[in-house]
Amino acid sequence: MTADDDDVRLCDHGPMSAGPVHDAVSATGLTKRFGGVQAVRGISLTVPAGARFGLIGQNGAGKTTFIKMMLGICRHDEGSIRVLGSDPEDVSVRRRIGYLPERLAIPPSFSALAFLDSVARYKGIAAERRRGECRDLLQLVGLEESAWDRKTGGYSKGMRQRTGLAAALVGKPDLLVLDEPTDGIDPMGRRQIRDVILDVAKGGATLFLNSHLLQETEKVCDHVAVLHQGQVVVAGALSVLQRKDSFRVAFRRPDAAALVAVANEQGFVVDDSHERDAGHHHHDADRLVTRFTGTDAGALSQALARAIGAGLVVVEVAPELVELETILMRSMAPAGGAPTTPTTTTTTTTDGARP
Amino acid sequence: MIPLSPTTIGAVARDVLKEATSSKMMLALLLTIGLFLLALTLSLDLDVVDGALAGSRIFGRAAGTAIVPVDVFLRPAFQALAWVTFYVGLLFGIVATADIAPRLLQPGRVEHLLALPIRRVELVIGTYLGVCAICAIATVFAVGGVSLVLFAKAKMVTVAPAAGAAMAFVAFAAIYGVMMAVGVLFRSAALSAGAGLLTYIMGVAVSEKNVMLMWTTNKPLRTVLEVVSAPIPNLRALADVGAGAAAGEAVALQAVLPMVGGAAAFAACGVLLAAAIVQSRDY
Ligand SMILES: Nc1ncnc2c1ncn2[C@@H]1O[C@H](COP(=O)(O)OP(=O)(O)OP(=O)(O)O)[C@@H](O)[C@H]1O
Ligand SMILES: [Mg+2]
Repeated sequence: MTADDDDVRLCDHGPMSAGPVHDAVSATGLTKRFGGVQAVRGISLTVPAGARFGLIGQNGAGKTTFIKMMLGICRHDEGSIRVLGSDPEDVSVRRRIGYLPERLAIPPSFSALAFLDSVARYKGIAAERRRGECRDLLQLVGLEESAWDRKTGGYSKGMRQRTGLAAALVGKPDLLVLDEPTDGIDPMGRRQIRDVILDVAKGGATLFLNSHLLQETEKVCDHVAVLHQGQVVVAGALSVLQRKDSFRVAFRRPDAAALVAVANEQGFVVDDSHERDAGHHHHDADRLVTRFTGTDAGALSQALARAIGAGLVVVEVAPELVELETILMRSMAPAGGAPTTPTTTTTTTTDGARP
Repeated sequence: MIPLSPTTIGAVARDVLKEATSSKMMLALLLTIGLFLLALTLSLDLDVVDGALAGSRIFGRAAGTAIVPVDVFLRPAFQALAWVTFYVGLLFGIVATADIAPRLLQPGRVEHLLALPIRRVELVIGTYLGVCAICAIATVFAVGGVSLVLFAKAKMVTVAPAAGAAMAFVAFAAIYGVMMAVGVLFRSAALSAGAGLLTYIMGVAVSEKNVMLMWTTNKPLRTVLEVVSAPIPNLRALADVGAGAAAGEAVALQAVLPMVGGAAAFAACGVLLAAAIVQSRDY
């Protein structure tokens, strides 16, 4: 999850490779009003090329509207937006974008193969390569082969969604924009889709993911932005946003109370918040979970050495991370307020640690 | 001027055609034509001797006993056929194609299309051409069928039915321009069909402009009627050309070409209007 080095990753295919490397998406002061609704109020946002970017926010925050403006489906009122270095309405740039809309309506009389073939045709893929590529993609997204030639009108929601994802992948896009891709997909399928998405991102494509499943965003993305009432309230590399200047250290629960005191002396503050957290870490009965504040690994090692010397047994050491959920909640707390930096406030007790 | 890609326009038209061929309306249209042809085959009973008609029955009724040349005998039938193709076919076409453009613009569909390398103008033109192709296919099917029946029954080869159908096609192409503009403006199949029917009625009425103007003595209203009806293709004139050609009359090109040109210009205006609407919209 080292996001910072992703910023400079080169986009090594497409006509842009010769020129300067552009941000995949860069918006400044974007606004959009629908009648009486100000859907977007001044979004400035940059998605570095090659990033795995996640957009999160409540219903009606303006996420889909932003995506539509990004793709030229909907025009912005003020501000400017560039996608892969060009205007969103530039046809040649759209050839390099794959998009899965929020509620995709596939022509019901088309089979999955016919639908993908049509998309491939629009993307200018040569006839002899089309069929093979479409079949490979349907295989990749895990649509059962017996359904490929059946009308999509008879598909289940998840099958349609998979077909839509395959369609978004046609022509190896440089920018993959997914608006709630795992909506309607079963848990096993979600994992499969996540792997597919990650594979595509590994190939150098920029990923733009809008999902309500924070775990999904957390697992897939390296950059996030939180939209709230049409504004960006938090944006940045996930590794920075999640950073918390402490470690979670768990010891095997000692028999003697004296040992707990030793741990305390060395700076391992017993953290029993998890025990209050119903259903969470319930296996911790035989563990003494503590928090060690500081980022200095040397200090931590010394403290650990002394604790071990005194007879404590370490079972887990992990840097503490702020959960995305917490970042989201905090960012929305000051209604319409200035962007907050979650790294400076560590008052919450629900932060989970990740090994 | 925006550069347009014929390949993309062709691909849009292809998808429209592909989707229509599996729609129930299209199936109904082809079935109707098929049943009509079957009825014609079963009921037409001609005794042809050396190109002359010895006796004949249409729909069970004896049609005279005098010996006449087949083509002369069939003239009124061809004429009737051209009229039916024109007026009924046009109505059927209006109803059958009304939902095509609104469906392309339905939520979830239009976003996907617009994010593909398709210009909005190409989407509109491609859709228009696709619908015209549907209409052309239905027409060819009907004309081909009728010609085949005539050949089988009377050993007659004639392009007459094709002439009538061609005029119907021209009229449909003009009317669909309006339907398309209204269809993309309101994204409604019902309103699109309504606009098509209104144009149809007005198109028949313009030939009787004086009758139409007799409805009212209100001067401004008369002016409005005059102005509105001026560009609308004269459907009766088009139908008459078709029927005349079907009956073997020579076609006066200097009279027909302006009519066809007018219809084409009318269609182009509708398509351009539709393109302007789609171009200016947020989806
Ligand atoms: N075409 C439209 N016409 C009118 N209002 C619209 C339109 N599209 C979006 N809005 C409004 O703009 C706001 C933002 O909507 P948007 O769809 O972008 O939200 P979202 O963040 O994607 O929400 P969700 O998480 O529910 O998908 C909402 O208040 C919505 O009602
Ligand atoms: Mg949305």
